[in-house]
Amino acid sequence: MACVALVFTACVQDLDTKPIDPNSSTSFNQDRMFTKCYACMAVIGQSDPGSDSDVEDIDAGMSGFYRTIWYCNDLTTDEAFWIWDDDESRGLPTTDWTGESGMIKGIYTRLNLNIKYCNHYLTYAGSESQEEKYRLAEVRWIRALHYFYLMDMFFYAPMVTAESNEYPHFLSRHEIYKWLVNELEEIIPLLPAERITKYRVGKSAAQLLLARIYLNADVYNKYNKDWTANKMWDKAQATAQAVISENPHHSLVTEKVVTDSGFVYSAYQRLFMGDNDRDDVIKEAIFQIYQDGLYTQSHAGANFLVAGPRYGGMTAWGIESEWHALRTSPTMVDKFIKPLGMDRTTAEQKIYDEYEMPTILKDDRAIMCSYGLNTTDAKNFALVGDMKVGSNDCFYSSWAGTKFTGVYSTASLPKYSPRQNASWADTDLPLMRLAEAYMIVAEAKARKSGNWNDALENVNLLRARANADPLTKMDEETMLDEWSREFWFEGRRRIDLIRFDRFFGGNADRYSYHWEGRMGSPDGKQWYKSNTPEYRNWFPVPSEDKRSNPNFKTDVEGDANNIFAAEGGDGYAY
Amino acid sequence: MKKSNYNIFRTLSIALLLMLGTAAYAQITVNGTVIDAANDEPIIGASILEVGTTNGTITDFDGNFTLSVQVGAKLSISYMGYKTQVLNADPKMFVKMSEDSELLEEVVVVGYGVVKKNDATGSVTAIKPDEMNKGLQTNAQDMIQGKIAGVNIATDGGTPGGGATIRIRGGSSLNASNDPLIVIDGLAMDNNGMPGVSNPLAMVNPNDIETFTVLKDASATAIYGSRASNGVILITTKKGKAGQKMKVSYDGNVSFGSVLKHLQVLTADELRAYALGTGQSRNANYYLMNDNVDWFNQIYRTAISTDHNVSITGGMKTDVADMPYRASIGYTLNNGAVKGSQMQRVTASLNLNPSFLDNHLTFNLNAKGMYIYNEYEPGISGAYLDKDPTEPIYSTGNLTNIYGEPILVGETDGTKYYLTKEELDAHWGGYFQPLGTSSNAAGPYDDPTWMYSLKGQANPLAQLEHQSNTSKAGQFVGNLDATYKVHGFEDLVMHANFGADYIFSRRTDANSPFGTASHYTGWNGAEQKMKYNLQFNCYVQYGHDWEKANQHFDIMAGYEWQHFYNEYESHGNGMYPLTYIGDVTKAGKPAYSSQSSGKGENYLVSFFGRMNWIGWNQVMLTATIRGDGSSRFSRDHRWGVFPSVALGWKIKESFLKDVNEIDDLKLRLGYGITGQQDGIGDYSYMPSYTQTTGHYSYYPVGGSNYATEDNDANIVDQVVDANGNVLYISDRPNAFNPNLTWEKTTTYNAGIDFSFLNNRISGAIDYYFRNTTDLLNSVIAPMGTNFRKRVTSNVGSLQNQGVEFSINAVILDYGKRFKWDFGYNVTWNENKITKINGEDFMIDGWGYGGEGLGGKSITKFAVGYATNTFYLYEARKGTRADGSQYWYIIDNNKDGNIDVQDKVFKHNPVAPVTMGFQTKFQFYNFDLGLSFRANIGNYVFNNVVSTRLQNVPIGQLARNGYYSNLPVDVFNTYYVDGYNRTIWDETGTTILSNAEASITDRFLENASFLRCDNITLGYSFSKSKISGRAYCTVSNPFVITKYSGLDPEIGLGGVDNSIYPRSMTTILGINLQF
Repeated sequence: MACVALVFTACVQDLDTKPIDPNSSTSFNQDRMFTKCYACMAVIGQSDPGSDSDVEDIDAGMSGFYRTIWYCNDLTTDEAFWIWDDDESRGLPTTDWTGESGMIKGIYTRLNLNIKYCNHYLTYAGSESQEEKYRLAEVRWIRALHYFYLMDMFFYAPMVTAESNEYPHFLSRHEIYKWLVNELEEIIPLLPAERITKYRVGKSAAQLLLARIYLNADVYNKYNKDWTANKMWDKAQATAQAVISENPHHSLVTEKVVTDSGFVYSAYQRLFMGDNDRDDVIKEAIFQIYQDGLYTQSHAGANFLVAGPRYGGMTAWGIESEWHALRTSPTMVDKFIKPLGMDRTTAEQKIYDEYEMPTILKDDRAIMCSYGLNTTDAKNFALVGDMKVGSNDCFYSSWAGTKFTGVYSTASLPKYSPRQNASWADTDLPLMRLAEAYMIVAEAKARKSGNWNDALENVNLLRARANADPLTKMDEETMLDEWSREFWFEGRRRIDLIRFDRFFGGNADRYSYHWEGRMGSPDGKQWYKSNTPEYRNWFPVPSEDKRSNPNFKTDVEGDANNIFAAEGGDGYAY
Repeated sequence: MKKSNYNIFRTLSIALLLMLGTAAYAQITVNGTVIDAANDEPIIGASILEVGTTNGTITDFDGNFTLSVQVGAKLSISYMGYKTQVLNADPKMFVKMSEDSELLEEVVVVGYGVVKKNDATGSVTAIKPDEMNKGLQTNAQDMIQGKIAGVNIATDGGTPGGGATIRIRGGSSLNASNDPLIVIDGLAMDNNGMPGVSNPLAMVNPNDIETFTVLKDASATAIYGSRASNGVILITTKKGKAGQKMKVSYDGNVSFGSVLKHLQVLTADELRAYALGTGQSRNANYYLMNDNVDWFNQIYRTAISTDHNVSITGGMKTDVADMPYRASIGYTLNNGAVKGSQMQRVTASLNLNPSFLDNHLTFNLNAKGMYIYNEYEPGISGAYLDKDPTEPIYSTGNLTNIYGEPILVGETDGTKYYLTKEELDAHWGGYFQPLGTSSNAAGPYDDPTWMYSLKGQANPLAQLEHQSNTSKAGQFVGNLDATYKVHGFEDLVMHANFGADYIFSRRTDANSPFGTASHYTGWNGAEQKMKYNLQFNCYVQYGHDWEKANQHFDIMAGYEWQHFYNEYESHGNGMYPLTYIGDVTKAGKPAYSSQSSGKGENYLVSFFGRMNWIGWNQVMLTATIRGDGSSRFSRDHRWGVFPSVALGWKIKESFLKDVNEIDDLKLRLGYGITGQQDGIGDYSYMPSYTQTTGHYSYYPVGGSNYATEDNDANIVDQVVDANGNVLYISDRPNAFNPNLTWEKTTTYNAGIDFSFLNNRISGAIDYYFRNTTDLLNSVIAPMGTNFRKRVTSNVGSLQNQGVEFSINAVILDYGKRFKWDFGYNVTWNENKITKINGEDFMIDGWGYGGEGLGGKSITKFAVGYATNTFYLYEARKGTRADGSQYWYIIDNNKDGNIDVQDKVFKHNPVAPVTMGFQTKFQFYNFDLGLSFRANIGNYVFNNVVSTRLQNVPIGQLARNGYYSNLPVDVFNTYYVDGYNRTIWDETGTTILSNAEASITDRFLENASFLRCDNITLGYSFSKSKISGRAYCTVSNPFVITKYSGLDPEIGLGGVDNSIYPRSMTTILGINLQF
């Protein structure tokens, strides 16, 4: 009997299993978790680019950090169209997204999950050696970067700063702002003065992020009772200036490349090429997300920007993938054409590829291609209003934005570019680059003095690098255009439009920006006519999180400071 | 074999006679013969006993016996399975024994034991396969389809060896498993699928099955506890009988299958007329060609299949042991209707049932083996719907377009590339294929000798030749089961069972570099899986009849241990040809390799017990309890307790005793709880990490600055990229839920069994109510609380209730001259989700569809609706003043926007009413059988139409530079004023963009149907040495339905994506016994 009892006990103990899969483990591995904190911004998960994404419920290829941000910040604006009709992009180009929209859920989940990974690392990682201390500071920076995006995109966000399975509380924008400023000021001295390797971050990244937050401080504090408007220009300017002056290892890329065959890749172009991680190019990057055709593949990284606008017949772009999906908006094109006194019809007399267009438009940054343009449609579509998702007419009505390419600067001609993989680009994503610091200094200075011409110095510095003629005078809208000319398709347009009060909810006359041809609005006028409410300046917390986190009711709906609740609590407001 | 048997028996008989003869003092000597009344064959080994003494003998090989007995003695002649006879001793005796069929049929198998059918208290349906009325039975599930009330079998289509979903009384789960537990000869099978093996039933040869028993209500299933929420199917295979003469039987057939119905598409002429007639520019029609290809006939064929089975059954008998045996071997070749699809299977089984020590110790050894080989068609079953019929098949066809020009496919660096026979022969295996060229000067593949890339749709025949997708799987299932009746205390029976189920499967996919799937590099991939499942159980049973008091009582207690293990590994790579110049170091070397692997295991430990009491042969009470511990739950939530109780009242035996018209009337009431833990991960409750696998998600940050603890040798921790960056793998913390626990289903059941008119009419009616709580599903966790958005949790409740009715009747019975019987069953089931935690949650269901929405769920789990209810926009057709028509979406919430809030819940893919009907006529030696099945009220989303409607405008038809084709129905019926994305507002004046117009209820159709499963005509014969039957069956001859698609039965997801069509099959078969 005792023997039997022993057997039973032994068998019952069988129920205490541990994973036996060599691909999984139960112990915390500090090194691998550290890698994850960076990799979660570059790839979608642990295996291949098409499956098992960290983020569920949206297309795996769209679930990455960069692409979710890009969709929310660029597809909602006057810069870009995405032609495919899918759940993810639906609602963004037409400004009728809701808490159920695919990409809103996608970005919210991606940002919060990445924060969760960071918190896991910060809770369990050691802090003995200097390297460990650097790593902790870097992961804190990554977390801050994610909170910056959460704050910027959502009015309220769940705040978690350590490993926990409790329901998190929601903080409002200005509360997160306060936390972020403290956090970044705290980690600036903890970060290495110079980044340890070119794919990690150093002090400059925290400084630039802080400068960016200061620059937008009024936006985040608009509903903060204790806030005095315009008080952060000084700090924005100083912090951005510190990025430039305190980090001599960073500098703008100013060298063009002339190949054996005499082909020229401009300095600006080199920032977005297959070999943009060369030491002399990556020095402009404050933080660059690595991509590799063989080992770090992502549809949500460089690939969607390289393959997205391409289709057969265009000048070679380094890889074979062609998606036939991404186009610039005509308004974007106008930003380069109009200052030259041209109109699109003139520019479209001849089809130019992206290596000719900068010369035609006298600006190295106009890396666009009018190949495949249906000029009849292009002339007409502003009248017809046929810019709609899923429409080929739409695709052929506008230019391709071909700034990102898989071509190497070592290629004598683009079509002879080496590549590692026919389907995946090696092009890294410069998420933050030094040029932004120059722009922040320019804008903060001008806003502080009230004289936009104070921005000329730095703006012209960047224009000179791009071989564009210097400007002689500035105004508010030129400044906003200049942000677009320098950073178009880099996933930040929405932020700038809001800071200039030219997104939604402002006065109708602010909309001298015609978002021409914007989907559903032939002349772009529908947007101010219909007086799109201010809450479109941020995205609603996805309904699924509202419902599943009981704190939402008290923290958000019950927030005494919540002006939207007071106004009757429009369902989309937060 | 025969000769040696004869000798053994003769020797033994003589020896026995000598031994016994010396003990007796002779009065008279009886010489007798015992034969089987049914076929006049001698019965070997029948026992002859002088009543009241120990004097006896057994019959020899010819059925003869000799025994000396006292004058006036009575002899008892007995043989297992036959009715015992007591006769007066005579010098010459001739005894005809008949099978005790009642005895055999009375017993039904239940969990861990058997019970007399009369005494069963649960809802148990046992059927013996009808040898005469069967259709094409490739898989065991084919034998019960439509035959048992409450059991719904949905096959996935006509793929050879294709899977099927079995649902008993509706599904009780959402995303945990809804599959019933399948127990074969006492061994519970693991339900998780393997490539090439659709489900555990695939491993049993239908010809080996003796009985199918379905345990439906919890009072019957609770003894299986945690795995029994969805019912239990018990299969017992055929066995030999003690002393039975060796019998050999052969079953074989040949069948001819062809697809009768397919969707009509535009012919080449119609397509050309449409293209040329719509004012398309010459440029747009540039790729239209001159051929007339009927792609359906190119892809489909008349499939000839065959099936052979041989079995040997018998029973050796010695003085120490009875040794019944049965061995069988079967071979099935099933060719699919689509060229290139095939299934071949070999099965073998061996049953040995020796009994020793005067039947006190019996063993039951079952061993089954299966080997299955599948060839899969390369995804071309629906290609005929879209493939341009104007294109030739081979490079030898006319390669000019309708304007008679050679086709220019591109221009690179001033070189013009034309579509030529030389190119097609050199790089496309001689098949015609629409082509394009690349902007890359070195060609699309960095190889100047391969300058063309694929455009348009792949040529299905080329795919057939250039792609090979096969799987091989082998399975062994064996168990040894021992029962010992304690000597001197026969009321106590001890029982032990050891079993193992081992299965190995390997799928290989090879694509030639000439093919379209992996053009240029080709692909060689393999995926292999192995799993086993070990089991041990033992139980002790005590039972006693107090005959005077007319009471019976038995009690059983047992223990079970199960271990489930699985592993998989997959790898594959393409190969760069030597002419590759993209990276010369890679020429002739592998390209794009992939690999992954994994392992998992889980344990179940259980204790169980049952108590039966039968009083006065009228009242029956059964109570069971089982405790299950699963390694899938944390210690705090590990154990589940599953009790049941059932009450039976034999009304017939109480006040209806004297009513002769009623043979049986029994009331059954049952209650019980069962559990579920299948379908969730093995380690979902504990924290763990997933490492980077494959080669695509490395990152150049990190590295071992510190010693790491668990560096596994199998993992490549780092790689170096082309620039010398070191790239590392990472760890992702997995979501986990320490509170995870059992899903539980409580079932109430009330039923009546009846049998009238000398058993001419019999049947049962049951009502059940099932409430499942703590449903397991992956649900959304609030952000910040877990490492993924979706976490497996216990989320809510659902209910099933239903009524089942079945009846079997012999309508006419004139003995061998004419007999007509029929069986009918009907089930009504209602399924409703009653609770989902976290307010008004809605969870994605199983149906995916819509144009460009292949990965989007269009069915939902929502409170108040059936599981997997469609969730769609409502579209209506309007007519403008000018008579033109348009579709609009109803703005249900009247907010002026068409958005997700306008969707409505509507219908679901599962039929609330299902029924089956079989009838059989026997006329002398001829028999005619028919089987029908009907589903009423099931709905299907016609995704074949929904996804193709966008192609109707001619510009869309040619949008990839090459033409595609369309089903005529899509063209004619559905196409009203614009393709499906063009949805107008209600007034028909403004186009509403941005509405998911392809997922409207416009494509939702009632798919109720009546299907004739088979019609069989047979002729039986019986000669002295041989008997048998020849038959002809037409399987699946017709379906009556209003559904506009190919087949209304499309599996449980509810979305028709053009299934592999089911064939109508004509079978010619013969069955012989020697």
